[in-house]
Amino acid sequence: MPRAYRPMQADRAKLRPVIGDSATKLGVRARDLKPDADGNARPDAGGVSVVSSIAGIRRRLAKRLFSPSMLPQRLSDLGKVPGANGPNSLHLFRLGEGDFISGTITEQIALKPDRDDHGTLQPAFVMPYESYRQAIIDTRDLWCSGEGDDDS
Amino acid sequence: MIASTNSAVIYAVWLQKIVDAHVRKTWDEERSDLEAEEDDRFNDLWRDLDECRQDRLWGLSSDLNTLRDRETWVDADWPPMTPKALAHEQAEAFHNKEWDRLLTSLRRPPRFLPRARVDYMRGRAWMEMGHPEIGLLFLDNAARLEPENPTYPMLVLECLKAMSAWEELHQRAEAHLRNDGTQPRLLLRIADALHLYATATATPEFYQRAIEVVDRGLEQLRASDVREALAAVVAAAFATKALCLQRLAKADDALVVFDAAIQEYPESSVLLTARGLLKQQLGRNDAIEDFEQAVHLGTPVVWPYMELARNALHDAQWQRAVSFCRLGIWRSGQPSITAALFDLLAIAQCERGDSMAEVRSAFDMARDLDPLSEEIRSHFDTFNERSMAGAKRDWKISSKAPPTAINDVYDELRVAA
Repeated sequence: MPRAYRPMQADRAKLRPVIGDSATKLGVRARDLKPDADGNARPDAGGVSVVSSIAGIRRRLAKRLFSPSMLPQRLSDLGKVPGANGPNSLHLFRLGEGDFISGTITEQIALKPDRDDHGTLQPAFVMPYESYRQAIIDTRDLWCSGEGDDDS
Repeated sequence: MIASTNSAVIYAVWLQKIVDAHVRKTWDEERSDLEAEEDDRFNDLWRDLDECRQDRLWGLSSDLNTLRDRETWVDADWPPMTPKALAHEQAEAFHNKEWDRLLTSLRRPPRFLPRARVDYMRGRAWMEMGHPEIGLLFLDNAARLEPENPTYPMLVLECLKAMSAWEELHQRAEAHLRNDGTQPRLLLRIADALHLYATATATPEFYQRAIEVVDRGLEQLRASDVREALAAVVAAAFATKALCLQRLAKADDALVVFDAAIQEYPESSVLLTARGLLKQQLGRNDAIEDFEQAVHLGTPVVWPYMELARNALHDAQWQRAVSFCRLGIWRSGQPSITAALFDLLAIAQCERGDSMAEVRSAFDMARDLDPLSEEIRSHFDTFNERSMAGAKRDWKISSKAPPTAINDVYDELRVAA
């Protein structure tokens, strides 16, 4: 499975992402992927944002593509993302072990890298929007902590 | 226009948010769902900022980790640079007042400057960028890291003054005064702070307190061997004392202080100007001698030129008046003062018999620079009446500098100190 990172609010007891439709939860916002006229989610129309690696986060940081409060402050103290000052209730999660390349995450979800170390978790095929949302939520147990990963 | 205003507001709020995060360590606070939602909305606004501001905000967030001794950076993220090249980059940015460039160069490896020095320069940069409240954080930290260096607490006082944080300024000043080890250079700056505090809070008793602190500082300096190096500081301290005495309606005592100061620093054209202005306020004829000596020494202050021009006009020395006006115009930094000089120049040219077009041009400059000046308007009316009637007119030129002139002179001394 390809590897991807995403900062999200953490359920501390289980160290899993909190479910919800916001930029820092595991879920889908209409702005991430708009349903089509039939209420379906389609591939290549956007998806849930992910990043390639911790170094990739810093490369995106160098282009100022996100704010300092999008990442937990802890990552600054760890020397991974200097300047991060977001709530420490956020956690940098990772799924997968492979390279950051197009590939299957689950039967219904695929990773598609686009630009600047960024990619999206998209529907693998046309499906009802609610099914896509549920498929994203169902990845919850695939996410683990990525904060201790190598800086590469 | 609306977009840029919005961007400025978003920037200001982000700035506050980042400072708050570091000062209050908000990252460890529990976030309610509502607050988390607000965070999300706020993060969405990030893209409305221009790249320069985004850079500055990320950089600030990184730099503020110095307050907790937890600054980090990743060497691999920066292109290689030798310490010599980086030192050159920093010096160039500092001298050119390119503050964002300086802040970036201080952030990157190789880090070879002492941390206190880095935070001092960060504090200076933020002060210069119009954010003394952020400059204060870095300068306080520099003072924590290198407590024996008086420059840092001196600049802390400057930040508090710029913030009009008068009570905080007073408390900090008193805390330094309670410390027997406070260095004389800092004492003299504290006196200046107390003088401004007294004025800002309308508490004249602090003028007396400021005078006592000047005396304490000067006494300590006399016992040391660094008096020569601190000449500008001492000169400013004399001026602080004299100004406080003036505020306490002890103008004669103030004059004695200026006499003593000029005896010690006869080459200080700024002190001579200050004494000249005081003598002028006291109605003494020898004020003009101080102005002449100040001009002889090439003073950068505009007032001696203005007063000598005024004096030449009273004595009907038109060519001399024109010369002093021209010299003053080159030195003036304030539109209203430049306007007054053009006004005097126009009168001198008129009396000298210059062409009407020449005189009108000087009046136009004066009126453009200070369109609400009653005196300039009155002189211009006199000029027009004279043009029509061809008769001699009484120009009604004010006889002395405004009482606020001394503040400009004092500012000059403070900057030098």
